[in-house]
Amino acid sequence: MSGNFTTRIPAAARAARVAGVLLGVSLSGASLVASAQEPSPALEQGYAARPEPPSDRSPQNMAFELRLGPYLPRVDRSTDQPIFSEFFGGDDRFMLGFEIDWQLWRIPHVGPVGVGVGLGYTNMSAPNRIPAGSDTAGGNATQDSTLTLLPTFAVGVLRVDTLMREFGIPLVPYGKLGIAHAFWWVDDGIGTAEDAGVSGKDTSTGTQMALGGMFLLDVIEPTTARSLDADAGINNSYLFFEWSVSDYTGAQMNVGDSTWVTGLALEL
Amino acid sequence: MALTGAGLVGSWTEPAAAQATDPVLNSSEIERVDRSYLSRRVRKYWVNYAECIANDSFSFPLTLKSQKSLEVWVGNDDCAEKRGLDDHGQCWIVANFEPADLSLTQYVLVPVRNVIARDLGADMAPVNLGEDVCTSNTDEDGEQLTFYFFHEEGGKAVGKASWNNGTGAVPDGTGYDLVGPNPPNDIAIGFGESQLSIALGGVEEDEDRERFEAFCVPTSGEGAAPVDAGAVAADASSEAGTDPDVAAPSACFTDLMRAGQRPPLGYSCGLAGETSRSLSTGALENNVVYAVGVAGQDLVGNAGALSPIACGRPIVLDDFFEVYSRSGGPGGGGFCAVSEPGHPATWYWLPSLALLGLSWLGRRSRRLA
Repeated sequence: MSGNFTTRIPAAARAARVAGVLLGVSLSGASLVASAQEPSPALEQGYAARPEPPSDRSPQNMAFELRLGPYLPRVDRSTDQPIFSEFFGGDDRFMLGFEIDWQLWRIPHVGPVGVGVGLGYTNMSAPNRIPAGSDTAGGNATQDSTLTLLPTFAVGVLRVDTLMREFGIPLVPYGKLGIAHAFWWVDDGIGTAEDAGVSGKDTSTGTQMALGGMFLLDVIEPTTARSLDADAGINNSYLFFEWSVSDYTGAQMNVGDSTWVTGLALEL
Repeated sequence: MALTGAGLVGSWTEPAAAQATDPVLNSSEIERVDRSYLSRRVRKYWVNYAECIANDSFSFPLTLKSQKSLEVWVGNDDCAEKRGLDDHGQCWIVANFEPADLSLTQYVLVPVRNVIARDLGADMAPVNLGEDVCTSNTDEDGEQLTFYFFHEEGGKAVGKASWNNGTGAVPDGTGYDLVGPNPPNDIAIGFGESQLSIALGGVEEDEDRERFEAFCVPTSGEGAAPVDAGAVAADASSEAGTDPDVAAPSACFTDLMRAGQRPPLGYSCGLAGETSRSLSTGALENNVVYAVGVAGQDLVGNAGALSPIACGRPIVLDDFFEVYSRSGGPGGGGFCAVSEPGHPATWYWLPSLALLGLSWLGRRSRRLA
């Protein structure tokens, strides 16, 4: 799981540094180039007195994913009529989320296996409906309903990094399987919606699975990758693309979707 | 009661050290009788129009050593040079007081209308000023003041304390400001269930404006505001009555609201920030026609003149959850709602627990290794 290492970074310090480094990695390709040309003072200080062996890596225990993708919940599967699509339309919304994995064990010649938890957020709004026969006196209804989704999931994760480690191919396929538990609530424009005394908020529970692949960014800037490992304990950085399926069948609102997700992943 | 001179201000030269401690004002316990000022985050000790109409009073806790009568003066200048009791330049008397039991804290009440009126005279006969005082000052910035407390002895001031809320947690002064900022020049009403939304148009910059405040007067249904028949007739016959930019439209006519005039206190129905160009009201009655106007509101809470008046009527609407539930959609009842029979929530948690257990075992075995 980890190579030999000489610069051991305390866990707390690593965690504190990760947040700052995340932004730099995700937003600034230019800064990566710049920092590769001009090593940071910290890097110079830490490595000045010794060579930089490629195997000099910090321990790898976890992965972090910043996730973004389109999302259109399958609420219409919970009703006989297409209530959701008639109310909110059929356009995708975007879901933003994150996932944290604990890489518990490395299967020799395969890759790390572990468990992960994730959280996402999206919402959608549309005007409330005017009941048939209402006297609107020519005015406009300007009050919206908003459905907010906060899906969470716990999954087992297998990342197959054999290609990368043993053949130098910077691709890591992976799979996830587990459970999903989504919080949802409807705001009617004043507060939480209600119908016949039943509050318009609840949770739905279902399954979560995903198949995807990650592209190792370290191959683009190996020097920067090493400095990220030394400074923040980030072993590898990836761009990932996955097909994600969440399904919430049964007597509950089906707020799942089958959709693609992309984002940035870091192994720490 | 811990008495302190902290927060006292003033630069008068004191002839006798003993007199410097009489009167002593406990500035940390200064209050207003009408507690509405506590709802403001800033300028709590300023007096606004509504507080003037409510005939609010300041309550000053004083510790006195002398039985001599006490006078309270107010000024917007350094009253150190205006100690003569007949001097009405920039300092004016607002209360006088005969101390009782000196062993107790003496609470001096100063009606805010006395502060605003400015011309009560040094003899301070009991006064009961009317609401007209509240419209006597038209300065949009108001007037910042300092209160002065001293004993009167033979027409001369003896001892003194002063206060202008210039220190303490929120040292933003005291004074009065009775005029609110400008309104939007145009409004458009949209309806919702138990609510109206108001689009604000023609908003011109006004540095005094901190937010917008909407006013809704019901003109139909049980809660309809009474209409003065004379006012209706006057409005119907006068130019103002036929001017849609001034009077409320006939569909929601009320004599309580007219464009360009002060809004009716007690009919506030919503607030929005100064940069907002829309405003949603609080809860209103469905199927009731409201006359709606919007005013600017300043830091002190004054609502200025009203925008043109428009009509709005909230009606019952169907939100998404209602449509969904009535179509047989399951779910709802709260995040902690008990699962219905057939709900798969129970068994789905088993693999979750298994994953957590696996995680724990993995970490434990690694630690042992």
